[in-house]
Amino acid sequence: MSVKKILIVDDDHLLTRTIDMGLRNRGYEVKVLYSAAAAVKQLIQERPDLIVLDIRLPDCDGWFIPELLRELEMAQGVAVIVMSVLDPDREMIKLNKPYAFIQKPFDMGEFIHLVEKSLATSGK
Amino acid sequence: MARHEVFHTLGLRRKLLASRLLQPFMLFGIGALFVYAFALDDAALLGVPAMTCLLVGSMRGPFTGGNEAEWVRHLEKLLRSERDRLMGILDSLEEGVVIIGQDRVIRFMNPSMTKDFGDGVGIRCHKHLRGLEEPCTGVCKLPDVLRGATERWESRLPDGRIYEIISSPFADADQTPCMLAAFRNVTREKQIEIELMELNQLKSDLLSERTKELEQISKDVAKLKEEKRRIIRFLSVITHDLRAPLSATQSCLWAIMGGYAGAVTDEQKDLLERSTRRIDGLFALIADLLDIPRIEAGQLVNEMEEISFNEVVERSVDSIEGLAKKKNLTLDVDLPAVSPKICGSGRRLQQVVTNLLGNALNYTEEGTILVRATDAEDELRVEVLDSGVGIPPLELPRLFQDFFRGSNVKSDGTGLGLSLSRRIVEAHGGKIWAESPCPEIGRGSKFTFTLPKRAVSSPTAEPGIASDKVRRNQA
Repeated sequence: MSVKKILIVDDDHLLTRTIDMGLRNRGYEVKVLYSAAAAVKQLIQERPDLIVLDIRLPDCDGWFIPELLRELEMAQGVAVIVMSVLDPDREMIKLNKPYAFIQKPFDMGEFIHLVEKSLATSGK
Repeated sequence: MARHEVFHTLGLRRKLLASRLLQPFMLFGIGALFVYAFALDDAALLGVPAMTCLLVGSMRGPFTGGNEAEWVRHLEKLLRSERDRLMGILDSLEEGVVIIGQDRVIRFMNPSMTKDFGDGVGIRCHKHLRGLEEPCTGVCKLPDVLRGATERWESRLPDGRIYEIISSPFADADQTPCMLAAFRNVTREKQIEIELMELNQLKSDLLSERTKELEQISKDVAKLKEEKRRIIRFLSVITHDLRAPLSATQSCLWAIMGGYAGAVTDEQKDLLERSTRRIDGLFALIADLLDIPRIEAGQLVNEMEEISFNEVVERSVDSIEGLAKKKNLTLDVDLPAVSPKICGSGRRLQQVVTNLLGNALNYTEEGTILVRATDAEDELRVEVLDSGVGIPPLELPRLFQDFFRGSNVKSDGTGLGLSLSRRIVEAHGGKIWAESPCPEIGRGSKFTFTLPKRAVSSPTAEPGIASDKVRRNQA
């Protein structure tokens, strides 16, 4: 079974480092990016299995990523978990249909469980 | 006497009779003319003299070729009778009739005129009618009338009475040109007219004022809406900026505690737990502080929907049941058999019940906590009773103020729980209060809040999100 590639997109270095640590412990290949622009480049080059992204990115709204996935017809193969310190924006969730929304702060065990479920569902 | 002399004498007598007897007749005719002019509009102006001529003509007919003396007597009698009748009519006219000579001296006044102005025959009209020594300047119609004009005008007397006057040229019995005038008192009508005008003006002013007020209210509402949007945008930014670093820190600490960064000693774990509790406290404070402007900006209205109240209480009870067990406290729940349906924010009302239960738990070391809901006809009553330490009487009035904390128990709370509960209950149109000691237990305290039962005004059924896909921050 190939190693699952996970893209973490968030400009909070402490949180991305924590997530990176948790996911690497589980054997995932993790790439951390701090902006939407960098994420888009990586997305096309690497085609990750899962993107974990924050809604507020320094260069644009995080919802841009799932919108782009839809436009590139990549949405079927790439699961998206959206995270935010804010309450879920139900309109945007309904529109962009991410696999899950997770509110910060979160327990690493719960987060990893969600990641595993999302990767199993995306079926790649 | 020769026949022609007889006829000559008769002719003189006729003239004499005519001059004596026709005077009141003419007066009547002209008086009636004016009265009819008031009553029937100007169409009567031609009718009255025409009728009079017909009457005179018809009297002569039966005696043509008959005995002249008999005819004269008959005519005399008839004219006297007519004169008496016409004078009677003139006397009983409600309108005042006056004849004024070209020297401005009043020659005749009917009883109505005399009643209104006093007897003024022989007195100059300006003196008698207006109390002036000199003729009325500018308003006197006499010269025009004497030149043949018929005038109609209104005159306001110095005492405030208003008369509508119609005047017309009139040749008196001695053929002197005079003015015949009919006076109708229209003071009351004019007063009503003025009052109506004033009322209309008032109505118009009020309408204009109300329109201005409504425009201002509309502007204020737009301004408030914009202010509300600005506050909510601002709060969103603040919430993010305050919570983001705390969230990252909390997630990191939890990951370390979970062993993701390597093995953790018990002492390290204890320190990490304390740190995360401090962060939880900060989360709670931020949440409470930000809730106040959110509730005050009316954001809660967007969350209103039809909710089943028993579920609200049950969820709150579930959230503290574990803690109650830990403290060996009995937690009793008394809910209506049929869950009452109310219009409200389930999330916020659960916050209220949880807050009251949490306080009861903090302030009770042994005994019972009871949460009871009663479904009345027009309101829902929720009571939380405890057998704890109670509230010092002096602190009761300050209980629902921001940052208030009871002095008799050490608490980790933010001091905003009850003030937020008050805001939430009030935003639902309800009331909240506390009693201590609890009247039913004799100690502890009792918190009660009511919620009016009303129709769902703005249900906001939001698309559901599978619970396993969303984890809500409970801080």
